[in-house]
Amino acid sequence: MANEPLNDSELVQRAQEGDRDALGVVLQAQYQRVFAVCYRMLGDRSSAEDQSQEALLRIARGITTFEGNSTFGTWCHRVATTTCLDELRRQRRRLLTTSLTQDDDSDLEISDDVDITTSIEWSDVRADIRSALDAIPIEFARAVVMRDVLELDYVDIAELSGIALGTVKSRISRGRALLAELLGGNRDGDVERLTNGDEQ
Amino acid sequence: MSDDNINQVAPDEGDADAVVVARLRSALLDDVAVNESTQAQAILAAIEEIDRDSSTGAVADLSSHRRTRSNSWLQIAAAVVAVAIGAGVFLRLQTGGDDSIELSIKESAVQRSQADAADAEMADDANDAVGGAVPEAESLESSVASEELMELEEEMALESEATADMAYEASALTSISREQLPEFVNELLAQRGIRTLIGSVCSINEGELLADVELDGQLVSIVRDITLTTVVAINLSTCEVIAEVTPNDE
Repeated sequence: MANEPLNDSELVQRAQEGDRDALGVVLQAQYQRVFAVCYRMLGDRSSAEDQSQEALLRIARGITTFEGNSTFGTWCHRVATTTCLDELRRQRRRLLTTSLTQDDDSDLEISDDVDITTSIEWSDVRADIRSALDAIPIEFARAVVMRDVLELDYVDIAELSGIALGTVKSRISRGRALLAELLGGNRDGDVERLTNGDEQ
Repeated sequence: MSDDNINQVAPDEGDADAVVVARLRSALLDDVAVNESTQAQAILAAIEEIDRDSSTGAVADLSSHRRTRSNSWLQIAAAVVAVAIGAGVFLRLQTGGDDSIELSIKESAVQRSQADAADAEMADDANDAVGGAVPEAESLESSVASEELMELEEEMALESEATADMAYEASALTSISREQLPEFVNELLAQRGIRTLIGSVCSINEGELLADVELDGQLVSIVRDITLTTVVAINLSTCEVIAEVTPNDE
């Protein structure tokens, strides 16, 4: 009787024990999601490929610390978002440095609010989802994508968006309701009311 | 770190619609095509890097030091820190102004006494932790010569043969408040020489031990998570993670 293929948890365990073949299989299985997360957060494929490689290295180095408190895919997803957040923060620091070295210092402002907004966009997604995301205020759509698709922390979303936590939660809540209506959910209310409501 | 700890903010009002979320994820994540060539290169590069780490004895192999929820963790860490301090490590962080904080890890003694077999076993564990970290320490730019580390390793081996009881003197630690923790961590990370030296010797459990401090009357270790680049403060008496900080700087 032929050996049965290893399941995901067995592969992870083998990889944790130093099996390089298993590690390769595990990384291959996770690459698509890691790249997709990076692509959505950074907005271009080249940057996403660079940060995907960095994330894969972090996963490989840290796999022995994975204790199974979440699924391995969730853990990898989190490593990917953290890697991309680090890259966005590096970009912010580069932006700050550039600002500080400009000749004209008359309008120089040093602020913690320097935008590190992600480049999330959905022009390439399939039509039904794109039209739904385009139909609601973009800040609502972006907040929902960051929370429910990219699974970012509220604090990170606030940082990426340059807004207060309360506003983040408000946008997510309204965005969810709007998308539920547009995409076939069972929410109460109507789009116009939700769109015109005051933010916190 | 469990997913439950990721969010430290109360959830927003209104649950996500599972069907909508599934459709969004499918469109925004699952449908993203990857370049197979780039994928293969990335995987190969990661494995090669891990192999290089292994050959140089870097931090990669931490699996043998799983978290243990007992005081042995404290004693092992204390023993390792004591060795580092014994090697002449003197850590001083100081910032100016009214909000200044000062941390000193000075003389921390390794006290010896008669002990039972369990203590001897614990000493062996501590010795393993030091021995496993030595190759990495040698690869780092450090003020401590490799010969000194070898001597220390031999010394620890001798100590493990004798029965030993190690106790960590926390009295030399200066207190910081919870509010000061993020600033403290960032300051600590800015002192890269200190981080690499201490971290290289104390690469146990899930990350690098950066420093020990007294916080709210308890001995707390500041540990950097090597995977997620976060820094956590751990109450060594309970192994409880009491704070998590994402440093502003690398």
